Amino acid sequence: MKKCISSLAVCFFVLGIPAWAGLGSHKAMYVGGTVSELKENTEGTVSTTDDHAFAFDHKGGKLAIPYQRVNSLEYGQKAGRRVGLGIAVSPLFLFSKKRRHYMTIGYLDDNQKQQAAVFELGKDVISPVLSSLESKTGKKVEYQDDESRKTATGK
Amino acid sequence: MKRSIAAFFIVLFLMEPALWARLGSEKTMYVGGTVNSIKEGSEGTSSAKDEKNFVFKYEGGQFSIPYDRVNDLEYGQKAGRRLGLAIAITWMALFSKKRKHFLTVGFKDDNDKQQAAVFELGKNIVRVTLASLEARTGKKIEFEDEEARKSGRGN
Repeated sequence: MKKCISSLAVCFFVLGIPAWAGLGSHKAMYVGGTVSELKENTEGTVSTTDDHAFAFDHKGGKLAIPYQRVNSLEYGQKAGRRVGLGIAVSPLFLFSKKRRHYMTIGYLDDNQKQQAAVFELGKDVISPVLSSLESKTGKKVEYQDDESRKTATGK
Repeated sequence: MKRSIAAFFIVLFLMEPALWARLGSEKTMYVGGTVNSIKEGSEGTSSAKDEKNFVFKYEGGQFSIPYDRVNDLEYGQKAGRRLGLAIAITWMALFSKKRKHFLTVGFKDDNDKQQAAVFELGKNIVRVTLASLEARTGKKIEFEDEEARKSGRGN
């Protein structure tokens, strides 16, 4: 019986790792939006090093959004207690928060139709991506709340 | 006896996500409104991928709302503590909140009569659905309150 309980606990722990690991800290994911050529939940990397367009590189190709066509930038986050892990593994997990970071880019496509793309950003790319986008597009990022602003800018 | 107690708790644990998730995180439910063709409580999936219509697919068929007929978008949420889970499984569930996300779409039907449809959205599709609908319809989402704005933009 003890063996059974301990193997169950190990299983919960192992299953818990992906839950707390989330998206890689340098990665990005296209969560969804109106971009028909991209499948929802496509993982890749984002880049603002190009002078003309924001790029999302993924396994199947590349999505480029010209900076001059961007008309809105939003950033928000979702924070939640690690309840599942808290119950399954240790109550100590309840003291830590799992955060997900979302950036929404609104832009006009080649046919002048409004489009929106929602990306989840890894925690290490939030600040550089948002500040680069602000400077390259000339648009201000709209923050969901003060906590988001603090996370993204440190202010 | 011990075995059956252990088995009972394992079953409860496995059932737990279903208990607290209720509507699937990627699903949509037609809660109610003026649309006679859909039964209240019909569950399905919604999509704003189509360029002309917001589409709700459910077991009995499909319901489409042309974007150019949408004249109002509202988002609100209902939050509550997980009392049931806390009583049934562990008091630790009190640390987390259960949230339901509601989207109201106001639109004119083929006879130019005003209609309204209230959908409950699964938590993983809130942000994407709202961003896509704003882009497609050109209408701004009206948030019920600041918390809803936070949740809608951050979720």
